[in-house]
Amino acid sequence: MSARNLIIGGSLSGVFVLAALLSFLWVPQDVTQLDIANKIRPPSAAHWLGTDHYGRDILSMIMVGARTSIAVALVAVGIGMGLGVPLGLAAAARHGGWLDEAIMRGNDLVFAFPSLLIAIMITAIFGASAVNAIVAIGIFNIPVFARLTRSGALSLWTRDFILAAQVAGKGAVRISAEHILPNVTNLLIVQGTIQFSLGILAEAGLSYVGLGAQPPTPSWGRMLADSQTMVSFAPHMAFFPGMAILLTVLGLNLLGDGLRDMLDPRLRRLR
Amino acid sequence: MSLLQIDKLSLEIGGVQILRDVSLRLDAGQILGVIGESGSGKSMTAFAVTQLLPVGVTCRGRVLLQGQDVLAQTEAQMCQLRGRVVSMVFQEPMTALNPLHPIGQQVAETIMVHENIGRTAAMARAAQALRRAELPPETFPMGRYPHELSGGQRQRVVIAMAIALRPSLLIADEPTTALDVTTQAEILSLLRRLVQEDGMGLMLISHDLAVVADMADQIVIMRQGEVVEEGPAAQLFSGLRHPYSQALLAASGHVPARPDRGQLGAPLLEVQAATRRYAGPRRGLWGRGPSFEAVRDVSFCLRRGESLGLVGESGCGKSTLTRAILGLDALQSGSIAFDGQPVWAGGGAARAVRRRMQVVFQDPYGSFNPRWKVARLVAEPFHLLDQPPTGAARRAAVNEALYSVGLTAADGDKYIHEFSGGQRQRIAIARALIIKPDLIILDEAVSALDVSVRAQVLDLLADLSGRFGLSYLFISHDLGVVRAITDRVLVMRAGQIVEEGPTEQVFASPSHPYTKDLIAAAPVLPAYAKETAQ
Repeated sequence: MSARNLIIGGSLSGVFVLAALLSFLWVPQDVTQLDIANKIRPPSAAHWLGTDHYGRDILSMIMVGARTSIAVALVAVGIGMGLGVPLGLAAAARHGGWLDEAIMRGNDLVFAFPSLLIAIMITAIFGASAVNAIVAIGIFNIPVFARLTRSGALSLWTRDFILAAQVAGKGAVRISAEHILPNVTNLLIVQGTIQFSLGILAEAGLSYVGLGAQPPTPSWGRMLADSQTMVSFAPHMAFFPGMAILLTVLGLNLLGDGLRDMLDPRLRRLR
Repeated sequence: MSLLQIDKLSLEIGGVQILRDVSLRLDAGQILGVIGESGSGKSMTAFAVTQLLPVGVTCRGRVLLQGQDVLAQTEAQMCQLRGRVVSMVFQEPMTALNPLHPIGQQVAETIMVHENIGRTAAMARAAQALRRAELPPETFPMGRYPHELSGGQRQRVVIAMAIALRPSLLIADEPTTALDVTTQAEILSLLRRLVQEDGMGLMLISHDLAVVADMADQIVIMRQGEVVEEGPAAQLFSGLRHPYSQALLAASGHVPARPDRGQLGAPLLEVQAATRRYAGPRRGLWGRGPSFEAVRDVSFCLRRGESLGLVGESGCGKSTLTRAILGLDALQSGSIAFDGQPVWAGGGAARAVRRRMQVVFQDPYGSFNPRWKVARLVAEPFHLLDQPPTGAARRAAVNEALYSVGLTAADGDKYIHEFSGGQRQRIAIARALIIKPDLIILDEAVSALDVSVRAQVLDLLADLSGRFGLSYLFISHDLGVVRAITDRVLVMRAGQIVEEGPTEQVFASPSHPYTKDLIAAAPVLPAYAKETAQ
């Protein structure tokens, strides 16, 4: 079961990563090139997934759009991990102290705000752009990783090998880096995969309302928004970017589940 | 007809043979002791009787419970038998009880599963069962939760659950291993009384020869899934035939040969009026409850070359004192000095002092980072040196430490999960030895080990103390081990040292009532068994 999740999830997400990488070298048709004569064509031999209302090739748009989605989600998860993990480690190392209290209450504060609302606020203040979308999504990843790291680290801090390291004169920072972090990595990998898929979804959502990547950079969310008024007579314009979002998110979630089953010994069944 | 008769039971998990032709029998009103070290298959035999086996197990042979073969029963039929005919008591009462349910309800549930009676009637029966387990509802209301009880009281709840329906067979799997000696004695006498009153058969599984020898009518000794020795308890120990059971008996009373060091040296560790107080629980927004003194006015002195024992039951403050000696926590008052220098200086432990003390912990599974290789684990205390050796010199030091505990250089490249419990404890000792300390604190260092492995580790410790001139502070609840390896002993209770003196003298003629209780409660092998061991 877990092996199946891992394979299906891995190959689905792998396809989109490959498509994104391939788009740097080659796309069927340049996405900035308009071809009004061939607008809103259904899938054909010349355009496998058809064309949009400016005559752009949808397959090319999806490939370049994957680049945006993946970049935004990757950097957002990076921000979340980069800040959340050290905060979580610090909170666990000072468990019950004022630092722990401050970090966790700060976490609660961020958790309490509806994330999309804050993202809209950020883009409203600083302007709509891919960078601002990344920052907005990244900020909401911080408490997720901080809390996960803290809970994983807390159970480790009671173990004897941590006591042994303390007896060896190691300080909290060193113990966190050498002993705690390597033992929470599997938790972080699994959560990272899931946050990655949520990041893709959030980016699509922000682009859909026009607050993500700005034209002419293609983005799955905006492709959906553009197709909205034409969905009755040109369903392919909505269908393919929609499928791209669905399959990537599904793939990443399956991958996360599969990784968790593989990495968490508690879920490993006797065969 | 015997109550329980096991004939040539073999058990396999995924092609690995766990039990081989195990045969034993138990009559009503009798106690059958099953002795074995870890991996001997003693628990698997018990689980085969209740058919609570892991997935993928195949059994052959016959397990007759009151004449019925349980291997031929369906799961639905087994559910009828479990609790009513056969019950179990486990090692760890905290995990055997549901933390979210009051104790009365948990006992009543067992009754309601089997008998079609209402809640009120079941609660009345539960009260009866708890009373029989010496936990009368008048003093211990049935609305209490497991966390509000002590370990021994929790085990009584588990026993009440097991005997609520007056089963004919009770299986107790290491029922007292997680408990203190005085509590252990109480639980064992409770079990003995229940056997006498109800005419129940008791299968008592334990690694502790002394516990079983004290209790059982019949004894079975198991090793690697086979029965190697069996017979009536009274005669068994005087005529052990199998070399393994002879070795086991010898190991359980093993006293390592310790080098005679004649005159003791100068004071090495001096603890003066040490007091460690913990802040009380939070009350309201800002308030705090009364603080708790875990260690109260403790003073003692450990001389160079001496092996000092510290004995006490759980919660007596041993661990708190250890942390203070190691410089991990500050004291509220009093002082701890190592070779004349204070352990705690200016907001932290003094490195110069710390590098002369090391520690070995109880749990051989929890005391190593599972993601590091042994060489790196063993070298960790080098962090205390100002100029730790690097490269080849570092590896040479690691190898030397591994050699001195009887391991090889090649073991340094393995991960910790590749080693058994006894080998891990050797690695823990190697880690303590590597910076050549003067004092090693052994915090229950052999408590989790099997008796034969424990004997080897004790020998190793005795040998190392002679070779490296080490002093030991040996902290343990196991009186037998402390008696075997220490020169002097301190008895601690509720944060205070209640008795102190040369080990033999304290054991032979204890003066404090608590020490007397402790020594009286500790199970001992019968005298004839001791003679055989020597």
